[in-house]
Amino acid sequence: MKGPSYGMVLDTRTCVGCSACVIACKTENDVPDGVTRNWIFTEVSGTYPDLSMSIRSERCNHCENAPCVAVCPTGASYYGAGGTVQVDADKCTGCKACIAACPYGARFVDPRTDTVDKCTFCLHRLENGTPTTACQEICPTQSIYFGDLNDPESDVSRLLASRASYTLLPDAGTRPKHFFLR
Amino acid sequence: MNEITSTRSNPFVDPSVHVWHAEVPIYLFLGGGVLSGGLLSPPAVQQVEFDSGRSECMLAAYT
Amino acid sequence: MKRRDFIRFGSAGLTAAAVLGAARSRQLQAYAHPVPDPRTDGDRVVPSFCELCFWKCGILAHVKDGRVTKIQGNPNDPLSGGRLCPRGAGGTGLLYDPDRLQRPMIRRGARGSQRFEEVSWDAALNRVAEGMQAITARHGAEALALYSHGYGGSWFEHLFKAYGSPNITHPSYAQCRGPRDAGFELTFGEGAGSPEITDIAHARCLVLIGSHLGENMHNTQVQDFASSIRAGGDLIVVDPRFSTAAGKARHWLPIKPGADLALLLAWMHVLITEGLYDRDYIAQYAYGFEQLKAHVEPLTPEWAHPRTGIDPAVIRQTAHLMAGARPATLVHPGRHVTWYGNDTQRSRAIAILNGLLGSWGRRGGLYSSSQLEVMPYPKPAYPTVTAAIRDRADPTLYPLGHELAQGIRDASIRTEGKEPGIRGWMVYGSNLPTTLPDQRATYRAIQDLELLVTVDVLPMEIVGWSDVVLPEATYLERWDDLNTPAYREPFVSLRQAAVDPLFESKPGSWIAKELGKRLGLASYFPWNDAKEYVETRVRATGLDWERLRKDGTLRGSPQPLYYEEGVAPSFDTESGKIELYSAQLAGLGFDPMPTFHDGEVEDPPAGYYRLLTGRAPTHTFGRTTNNRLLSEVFAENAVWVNRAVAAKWRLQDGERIYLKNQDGVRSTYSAPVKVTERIHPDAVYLVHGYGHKAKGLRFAQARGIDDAELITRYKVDPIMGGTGMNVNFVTFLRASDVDAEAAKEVVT
Repeated sequence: MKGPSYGMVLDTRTCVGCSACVIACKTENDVPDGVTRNWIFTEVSGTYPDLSMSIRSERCNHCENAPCVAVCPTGASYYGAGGTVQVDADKCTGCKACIAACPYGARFVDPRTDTVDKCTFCLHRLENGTPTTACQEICPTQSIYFGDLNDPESDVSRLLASRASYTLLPDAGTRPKHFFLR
Repeated sequence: MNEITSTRSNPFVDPSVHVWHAEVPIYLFLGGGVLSGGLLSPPAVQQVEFDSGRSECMLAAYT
Repeated sequence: MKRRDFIRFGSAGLTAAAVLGAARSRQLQAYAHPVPDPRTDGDRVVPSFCELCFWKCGILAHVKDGRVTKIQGNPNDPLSGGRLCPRGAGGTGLLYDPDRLQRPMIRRGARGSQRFEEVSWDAALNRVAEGMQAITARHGAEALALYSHGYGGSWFEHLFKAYGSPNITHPSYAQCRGPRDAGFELTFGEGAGSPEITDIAHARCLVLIGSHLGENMHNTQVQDFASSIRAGGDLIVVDPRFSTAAGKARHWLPIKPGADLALLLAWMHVLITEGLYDRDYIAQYAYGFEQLKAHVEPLTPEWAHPRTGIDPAVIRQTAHLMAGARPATLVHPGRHVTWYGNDTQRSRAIAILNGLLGSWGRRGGLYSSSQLEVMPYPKPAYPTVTAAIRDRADPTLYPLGHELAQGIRDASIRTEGKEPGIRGWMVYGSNLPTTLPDQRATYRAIQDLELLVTVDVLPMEIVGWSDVVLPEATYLERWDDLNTPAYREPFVSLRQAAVDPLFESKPGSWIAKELGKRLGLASYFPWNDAKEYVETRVRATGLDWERLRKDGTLRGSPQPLYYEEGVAPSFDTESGKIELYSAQLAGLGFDPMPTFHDGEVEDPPAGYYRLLTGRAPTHTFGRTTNNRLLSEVFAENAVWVNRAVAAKWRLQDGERIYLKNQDGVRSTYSAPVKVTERIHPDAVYLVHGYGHKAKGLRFAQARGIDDAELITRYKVDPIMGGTGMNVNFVTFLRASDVDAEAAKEVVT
């Protein structure tokens, strides 16, 4: 019986890029000024008036083969519960090797502690009995889904089984667990 | 023609990653060697930590 | 050795160590800490409703050690359903804004010099009362006016009604929704509502005319928009700009600005001539079909094509899509519709189109709302006011318009030695210089006033020009009246304070009552405070007060929404039917059916581009652009310039420019250019609410371009007085050129 493998699914069809997820994450996780754990990425292609747009809310991909974990010299970056990638601030020396290694630009230095921080998939909420991330909970378009990829009945599994999806930089070998529904 | 925008603006990361100061390649190099040598265990980390700042400490131990 | 080689070498070592590393990482996990808890959950969680915009979503304010740590949606609330837009989530950025008004102030320097003395509440309130009474003694209560925007304004409206002034005005009418509701009232006998009575979630085809849901973040509307997308509904977006909504549309119609009415009429033509409209519905409920049929007979898609820039085939295709989904085809009424001065007629065209599709009163169209009735607090009846509102020079103008905010402003200006009809303003939560078109006229009026009192939370421009500044507590620090909107289900929401007011700020309910006492109106404020006021109302209605306090919302019994569910069709119009032809309008000398007049909307002069404005999801116009939390995502507006136009002007993406309009007015500040394919070549686009001048707004000041100062020209809707503002044209000035000129002036 496999343990859980936590991942996230973002529905780009309904995401309007409003940034409620960004603000909710900041206040839930006490993220300091000037840095953010999640963000909105917009891409518009074509020539007026034949245009198409893609909008998505992004964050750490909690990769199964995370370069940040591999390069961390102190073990501060590690695989936590459900295969999520976490940072132990007590062990972090702020060397920024992980920031350099992450091809998604998902990490940043917390200016208050000079240690590296990033999306934690709000596991503290899960541990406290609320199985939703702050961004998922606030999202007015219900575009964000967090759950167990190893559970075929979970929302994330069902969505990935029924809709076309993609990951970011699939050839980088990181095996990200953040999926985007087309 | 593609128009790409991101609302992220994290220092050292946006608009492009620029953390390639001296200590980072050293860490990547040392990371391989140290792990192979099995030196990177919690007691070993504590051994190389001094008061004068962590990044300097790691270099000091190997120069 | 190249850096790349370093990594490869290092990773070879890492690969070898990977097996060791995996074991190591499991060992490390044994030492790993659990994910740290940021501990932002409150010791107390207080349900209330938001005031970052005017939708009033139910929220849960987490309070820990006397501070609000975070704000979540209240799952009990029908409007938010437990989810919030970014503004609501960022309310702590308002509560803890370092620039908040802290103490009452009285002006000591010249008006506009922003030299104030902080005074006691007693001194400030006495000054306000004296000022109001002095004006009343000489000119009557009809020389005083109240502008109000925001839910806390209800206490001041009550004060003014008790005082006996007829001049109570909301900029949200003539500067925003007024023409829309006039158009719908003329057609169906009822306005579009706020929240809008739009059954978006069940629409099989949603048509947006300029509406940019997703950037306009009216929470429930966006939630329903997402539901409609999930359900596979079709989306047609008509907009000169490729908005977020356009990005999700099956059809984006990049219409020439100002030509929407031609498209709407051509759609009517297709539906009628091809027999695609709801025949039974029209036969049963509508008046004037034959007249409408004759009216749109020549208005073919080919006729509309050169006027709109939309291909006739696309006009037909989209009409067929709309017809195929009816009656669950919703042509959204929009919200801010004050565009070209013909906005009542354009809104009426939207209403008529919904009528032809049979969507009014039907599922997926426009539903029948219900409202929970809560007993009022017993108080004396208001005095009868015989004086008319002083919002227009000629009383025969704008026959269907009531309370025109720009008219009150104009009545306050001294002209050719003629004394103004309005001498004093009280302004609640409305930054008039950026709200009303023709900013210079607003400042002229302010300078002619004998008394300007502002009640606000932040030092907006109008605050700097005031005689008396009354700092209100934010929505998180106060109680306000119950919210019982007309919605798809009847409910009541409570606003209760989560924390005590910071500094010397006071709730509006207290301010209004204290003013009332000083104006001899104590009997009109029989409640001790807002909390006792709402509790009395709730208990008198037989509702569960304790549960309302705990849950934030109480719902009434669900009511039928559609004709299919038993709602009885009834239309409060002269004919008692849906008026496709309006005899009322004809009688008043207006087009009885919307008519496209060539040349009514002029083209931009050469070298100029029409200035279009809109919303960003993180902001509520100028109210939130000082909010540092929200501004992290969107700190400054940019001028959207069509790529081909930018190439012609050799403007680079990110280059800073000033804008100058057709009247020679130049923007005070610059903004970056956003070179984009996403805007019609005839137009440029700015998000409204930037370019603040007030020094007290230390974050927002000098950031971006204020579109309001460029809206010097406006076209007034002759039917109800709405101010069409999309009639200004701008040209570009390179910031480098402007700054070089300015530097030269300094030297010489």
